[in-house]
Amino acid sequence: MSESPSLASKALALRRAFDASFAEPATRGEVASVDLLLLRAGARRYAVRLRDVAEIAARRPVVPVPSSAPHLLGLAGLRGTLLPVFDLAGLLGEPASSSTPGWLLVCERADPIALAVRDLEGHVRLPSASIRAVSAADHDHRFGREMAHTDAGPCLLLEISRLTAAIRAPTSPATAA
Amino acid sequence: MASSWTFGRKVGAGFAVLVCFTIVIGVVAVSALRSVVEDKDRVIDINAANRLDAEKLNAAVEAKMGAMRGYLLAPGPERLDAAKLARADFQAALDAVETRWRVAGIADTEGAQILQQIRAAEEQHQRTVERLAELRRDVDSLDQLAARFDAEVVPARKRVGGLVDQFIAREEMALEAARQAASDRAAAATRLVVMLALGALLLGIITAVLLTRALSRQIGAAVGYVQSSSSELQAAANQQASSSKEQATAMNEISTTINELLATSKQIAESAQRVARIAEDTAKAARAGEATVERTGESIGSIKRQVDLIVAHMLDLGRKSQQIGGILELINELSEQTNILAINATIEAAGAGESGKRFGVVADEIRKLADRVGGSTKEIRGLIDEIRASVNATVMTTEGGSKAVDAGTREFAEVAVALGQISSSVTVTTEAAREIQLSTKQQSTAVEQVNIAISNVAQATHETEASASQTLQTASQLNVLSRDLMRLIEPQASR
Repeated sequence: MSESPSLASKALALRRAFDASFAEPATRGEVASVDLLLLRAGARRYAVRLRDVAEIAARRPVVPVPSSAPHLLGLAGLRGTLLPVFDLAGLLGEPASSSTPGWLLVCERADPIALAVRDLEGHVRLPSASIRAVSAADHDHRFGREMAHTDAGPCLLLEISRLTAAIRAPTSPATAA
Repeated sequence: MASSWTFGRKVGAGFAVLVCFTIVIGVVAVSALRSVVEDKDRVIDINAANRLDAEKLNAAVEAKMGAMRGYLLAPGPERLDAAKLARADFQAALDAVETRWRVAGIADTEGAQILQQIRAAEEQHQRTVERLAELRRDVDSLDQLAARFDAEVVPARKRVGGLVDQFIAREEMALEAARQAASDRAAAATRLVVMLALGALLLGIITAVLLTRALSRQIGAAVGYVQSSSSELQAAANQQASSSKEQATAMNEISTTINELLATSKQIAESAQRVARIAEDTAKAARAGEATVERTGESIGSIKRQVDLIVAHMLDLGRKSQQIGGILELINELSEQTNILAINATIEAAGAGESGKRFGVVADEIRKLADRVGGSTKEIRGLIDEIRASVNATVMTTEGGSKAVDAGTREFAEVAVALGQISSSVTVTTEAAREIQLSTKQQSTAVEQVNIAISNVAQATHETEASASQTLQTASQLNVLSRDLMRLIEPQASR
C-alpha cells in the first residue's frame, strides 16, 4: 500500500514528460545519433540498426513448411503477405531455444524476410560515437563489424544485409558457419 | 555335721564347751565353799555355842554357890533371889543346848544323857542347898552349917561340876571333830576344783587344737578359693578395663557420628521446610498457571479465529493480486504493442523522409512512453509478484500458524492436564515435605535423646572403666591379702 503514492507520482511524471515532449521545440541534427533495436538471441545480446528493419511484427502463428533451407521456421502471414520466417539465433549460431520466438523482424520491404527473435529488449538511440569497429581478434563478426556500447554493455551490431545475403546465398549459412 | 559348721559356730562351740566347764567348776567350787561355810557355821553355831553354854553352866553353879554361901553367912532374901537367878541361868543354858540340838536335828543320845545327869545332879544340889537354907533359920551355929555345907553341898557341887566338865570335854571333842571334818571337806572341794580346772584346761587345749586344725583347713581352702578367684577377678577386671576403654572409644565415635547425624537431620529438616515452602509456592504458581492456561486457551481460540480470518483475507488478497497481475499483463502487452507500434511508426517516419520527421518525433515519444509504461508495468509486476509471494508466504505462514495454534491448543490442553497433575503432585509433595519435616523433627528429637543416652552410656562406661581399674586394684590387693592370709595359715605354702 505504501507503493501507491510512488506509483501515482510515477504515472504523473510519465504524463508530464509525455506532454512536455510536445511542448519543446524540435531539435535537429545537433548530435549525430543512431537508432538501434536491442535484442537477445541465445545467451547474447545483439543490436540492429532500426533503419535496416522494415517492420516489427508481434507474435503470430508460424506455419512450418518442409524445406531444405536451414533455420527456416515456416511461413507467417503479415497483412495479406506470406513471409518466410528464419530463426535468428540459429542463424547466429546460438543454441536453439525451446520457447517460441516472440517477435518477427521484417527485413527488406521489396522481398521481405522475417527473422524470429525470442526477446526484444527495445529501441535505443545512441550517439554515433557509441558505435565502434570490432577488433579482428574479437569474437565472431560474420554478421557484424561494429560494436554498440549501450548502458547495459557492448553488443554486436548485426548487419541485416549480411544476414539476408547469407539467407539468400545458395550455400547454407549453417554449413558455412 | 561339724564339718558344715561355720567358723563362728565352731569357735562359739569351743567357747561354749569351755564356758560350760567353767560354769561346772564354778558351781562345784561354790557348792564346796557353801558346804565348808555350812560346816564352819555349824561348828560355830552348835559346837562352839554348846561349849560356851557349858561354860555358862559352871559359872551359874558357881554363882549359885556363892549366893548360898552369902546367905548362909548373912541370911537375906536378896541372897536367895540371886541364887534363884543363877539357877535360872543354869536352866536356860541347859535348855539352850537342848533347843540347839533339836533345831539342828542332832540326835546325840550320849550327850542328852549327860545333860539329863547334869540336870539331875543340879536338882540334888538344889535340894541340899534348900535344906541348908531352912536349917540356917533354925540353927545359928555357923560351924555346924559349914560342916553340913561341906558334907552335903560341896559333894553335890562337885558332882554337878564333874558332869559339866564331862560335858565340856565332850563338846570340846565334838567341836574339834566338826572343825576337822569341815577342814577335810574344804580340802576335798579344793582338790575337786583343781581337778576340774585341770580338766577344763585340757579340754581347752583340745578344743583349741581341734579348732585350729578345722579352721586352718577351712580357711586355707577358702583362701585358696579367694586367691584363685582374685586371680580370675584380676584377669576379668583387666579384660573389663580394656573392654571399657574400647567401649568408651566406640561411644565417643558413636557420639561424634550422632552429632553429625543430628546436624544432618537438622539440615534435612530445614531443607524439608524449604521444600514445603517451595512446594506451597509451586502449588500456588500451579493454580495460577492453571488459570493462566485456561485464559491462554481462550486467547489461543481467539487467535485461531483471528488467524482463520487472516488466512481468508490473505487468500482474498492473493486472488485480488492475481487479478491485478492479469490486468498488468494486459497493460504490459498493450505497452509492448504500443512500443512496437511506436518503433514501426519510427521506421515508417524514417522511410517517409523529411515529411515524416515530425511524425517520427511523435512516434518516438509514444515509444518512450510505452517503454516507461512497460518499465513501470515491470516494476508493478515485480511489486505484485512480491505481494503475491508475500501473500503466499503469509498464507503458508498463517496456515502453519493455524496448525501451530491447533497444535498449541492441543498441547495447551495437555499442558493444562499436566499442570493439574503437577498441582495435585505438588499438593502431595507439600504433604510429603511436611511429613518429612515433622518426621525429621521427631528424628532430630529422638537423635538428641539418643545422644543424651549415649552420653550417659559413655559416662557409665567411663565409670565402669574407673571401677574396673578399682576392681583390678582391689583384686591385686585381694591376691596379696590372700597370699598373706595363706602365709599366716600355712607358712610353708608361701614359698
